[in-house]
Amino acid sequence: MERVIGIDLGTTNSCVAVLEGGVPKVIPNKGGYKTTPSIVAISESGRRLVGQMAKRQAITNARHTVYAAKRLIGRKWGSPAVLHCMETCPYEIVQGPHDDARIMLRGKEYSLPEISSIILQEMKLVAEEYLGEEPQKAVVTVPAYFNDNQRQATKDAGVIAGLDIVRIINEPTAAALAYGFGKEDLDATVAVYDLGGGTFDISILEISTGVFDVLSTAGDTFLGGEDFDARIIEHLAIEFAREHRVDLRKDEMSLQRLKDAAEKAKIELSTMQETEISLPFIYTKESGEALHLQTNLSRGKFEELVADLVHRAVKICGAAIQDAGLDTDDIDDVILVGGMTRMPRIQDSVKEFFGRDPSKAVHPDEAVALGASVQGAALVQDDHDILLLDVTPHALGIMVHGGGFQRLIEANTTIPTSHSHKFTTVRDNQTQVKIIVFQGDDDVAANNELLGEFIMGGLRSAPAGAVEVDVTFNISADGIVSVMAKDLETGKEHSITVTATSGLTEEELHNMIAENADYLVALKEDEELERERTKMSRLLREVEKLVTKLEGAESVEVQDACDGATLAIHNGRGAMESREQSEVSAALAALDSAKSMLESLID
Amino acid sequence: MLDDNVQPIPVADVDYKNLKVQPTPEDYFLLSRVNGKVTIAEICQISGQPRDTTHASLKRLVEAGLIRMPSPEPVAASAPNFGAEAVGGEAAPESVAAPVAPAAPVVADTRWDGWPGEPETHSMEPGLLAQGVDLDDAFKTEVSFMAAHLSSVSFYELLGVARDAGRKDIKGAYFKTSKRFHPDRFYGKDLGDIQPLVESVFHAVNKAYQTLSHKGKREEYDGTLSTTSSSPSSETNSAQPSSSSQAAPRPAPTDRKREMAFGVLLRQGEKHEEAREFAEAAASYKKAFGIKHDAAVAMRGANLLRRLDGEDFVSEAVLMAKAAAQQHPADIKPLVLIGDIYEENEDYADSLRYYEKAQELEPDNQSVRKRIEFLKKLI
Ligand SMILES: Nc1ncnc2c1ncn2[C@@H]1O[C@H](COP(=O)(O)OP(=O)(O)O)[C@@H](O)[C@H]1O
Ligand SMILES: [Mg+2]
Repeated sequence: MERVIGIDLGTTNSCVAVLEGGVPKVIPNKGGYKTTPSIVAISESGRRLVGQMAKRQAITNARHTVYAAKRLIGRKWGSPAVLHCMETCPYEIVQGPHDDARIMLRGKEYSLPEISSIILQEMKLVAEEYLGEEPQKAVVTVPAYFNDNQRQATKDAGVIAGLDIVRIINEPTAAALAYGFGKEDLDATVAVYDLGGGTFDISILEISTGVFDVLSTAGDTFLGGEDFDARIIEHLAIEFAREHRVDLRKDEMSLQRLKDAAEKAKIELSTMQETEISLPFIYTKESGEALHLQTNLSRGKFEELVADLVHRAVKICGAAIQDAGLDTDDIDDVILVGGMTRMPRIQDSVKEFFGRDPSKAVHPDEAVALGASVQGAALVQDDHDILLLDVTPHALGIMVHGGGFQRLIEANTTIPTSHSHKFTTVRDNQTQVKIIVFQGDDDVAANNELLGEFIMGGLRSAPAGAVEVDVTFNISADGIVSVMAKDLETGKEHSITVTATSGLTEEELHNMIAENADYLVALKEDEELERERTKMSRLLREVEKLVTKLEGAESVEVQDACDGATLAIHNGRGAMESREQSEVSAALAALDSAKSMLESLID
Repeated sequence: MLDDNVQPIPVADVDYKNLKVQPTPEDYFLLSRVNGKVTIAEICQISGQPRDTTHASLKRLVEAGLIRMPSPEPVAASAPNFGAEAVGGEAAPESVAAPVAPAAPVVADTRWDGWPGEPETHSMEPGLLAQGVDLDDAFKTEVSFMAAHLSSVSFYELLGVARDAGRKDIKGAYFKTSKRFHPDRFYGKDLGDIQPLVESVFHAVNKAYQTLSHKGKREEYDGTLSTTSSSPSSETNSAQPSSSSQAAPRPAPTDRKREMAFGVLLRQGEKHEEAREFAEAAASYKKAFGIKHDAAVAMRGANLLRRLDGEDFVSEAVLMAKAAAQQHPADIKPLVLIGDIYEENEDYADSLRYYEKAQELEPDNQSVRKRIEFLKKLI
């Protein structure tokens, strides 16, 4: 049976799950944790670090540690998202060859899909360890509010990681799947409120007879836990500056420590009324004087600092309800997802808005991955009577004369969907039409996300308006856009996948895949070497013991054996130093035979 | 006896050359009225024939395999929405096995109300049937049938719900239909050229639900339906002028497609006429009439057919003229044409009957009066 793993590729944390014996299960990583930080770093020695390991060294290696890469994936150079990260992130963001953003780590440029692929790879390894075989297929989740470019880039990440992403699904939808899985008689309208580290999503769904029908979705790709942390950082920095006339945010190391402390404080305030923030030696003045940060933060003060953020999320909920054509009374259950929903003020705001206590039925950190694994099984196995009817979060359209945006597919249209539109020539003897495709919700085309432009050429030379081209816009079940153009006169067809101009080229992808495969081979070799070295150090100790025991015996045979063993020990030590695979293996074999020889002499 | 409330259903894509029994021209006329919605009582009213004769006609049409009667009741309430799991042919449960059970071939499925026929009788392109190795033939035929008729059925018919269905029923029908046609249901399966058909069906189903589940959109849609309705009542009882001569409201999207198809067939017919291929021309006009019940096109077809040699052509000519009369009950031209055709073929009694009908409409018409006088002398 084909296994499809479900991966929640989060801004802050990632999680992997698989359906086992008909039950979705989260797979814990080597450390025993069910989620893995979405952090990638390159150490000073050039080693790739992922997850917990990367997080641990983040403060001391901030420039080469990438977190929240998801905020940048599929974004264009110069876009507000990129500008924002350039201002706030300690790692270096540079312009890529396709008007995209790239991250410079220890002198090497990484595209965002590459960074995400490293995390996907790690989750794949977590699953592999557990399943005992390499998973080939995965369902990967993205925020519901992701546009086509961001989805495409996420798919690219899967390709680089050697994973066949069979479906991209929306995070809140996935959470709803986890919620409704196994409840055959469920007939309800639910709201999924997902506030994670970087993004906010809200989706309204109707669930009945195993069908999960998304009525509407809304969100903000710039609203998440990090923004809450930032408020604390700002508050602490201002307080500190008032006292010491020093802006801690200007110092990289101080800023990292502040960030760390802010998040810790935020999390503590979810369970406590007050928390202590203590950062000794946070700053050393030119005079050599050391400054310490020592303060208390109350839950009330924190809630005051983030009141507008909480309100922003509530307002978006209102929009989603309205788009669904419903009232808050129509919602039977509210599902909370994402680490930030542990904050009491968030829970209260949800309760106030929906007029009911949110459900505790799903785990806020695990539901998304669980749902992804459910969808994976529903796709490849015939025995799952589950169907997801998701929607496209943004309108799809084209630029028309004067720069306006003409919507062809409205936001919240159920996918897959398609729409045909006729274009006519506007000038005499015009032999080509140019079509510029946008996604977004603004009436001015340029304010929306540019998905791509293409030209349908080779049209018959004729008076204006005489030639018609039929263009079909298609949105797949992944939410990915493709366009087909047809010359109505000649029947000539043109199929275009609207690739983001900032997307990776085929060749780049190819190179990245190869590079990643090399890395994996090296990683496996490293692991093998490590195992042999452990074995060797054990053998060394054993053989040394045997030699001491037998040394001094009269027998020539024993003497010879001890000499041989001593040589093997010497070579073994050398091989331990050199870390050369072949040398280690040879020395290991020699030690092994020396050991059996000595043992046979003892008996 | 046939039940007055039963709504006979036309069978699509019949091989007319190899019918088991040969229907009369009157039977054919009745056939043109059968659309799955008119009841037998209504057919009797519009047939212009005695009740018994009409019943006999309908029975002949059933025997010829041109129409069929629906089962008296939809079978078990839990029956799936679509008829792939065929419930037809099975004996009725014993508790309800009543002697009145009709002997008509039964396929219990309210799903195809308003559709031009049934998927079982839909003939697929053989090449297409060879595609999609992972699907069974019944499903392929059903999808192909649906895809071929998407533009001619209403959103209600597409989802298989009544015009006054509530939100919940519509949702239930949509969910069921989606479960059959959503592309995810065929993940990893080889659909071949069936794939685009499945997609087009799902897209249409989707659009239907998006319209019918939205109060405002549904009202608007209902508005377009009633103005261009093909329901029997508005067609048979009112004396509307032809839709082509009327400043009609802006047609709904599906009607626009219909208009286009109608135009194409009309032009085809004209071309055949120019090439003096009258039989072909008449066939085009007949098809055009099938798409839009336009009296002018029916008259044109009838006028061509009456000039062709052969009994079949004559009866078809009468049929089309009758269809035109049906569209314009207040117009004497079709009636006169029918009278002329009968007269040409020496069926004087019938000829007289139609001239007299024409005279009822226009008592002062001189040429009609002359014909009647002449025929009366003959008989
Ligand atoms: N107990 C808690 N109280 C408040 N915030 C929390 C708590 N636990 C985690 N968080 C916050 O939740 C965010 C991570 O949520 P998560 O759902 O894992 O994010 P994502 O899905 O974006 O990866 C972080 O900002 C983290 O600080
Ligand atoms: Mg999340």
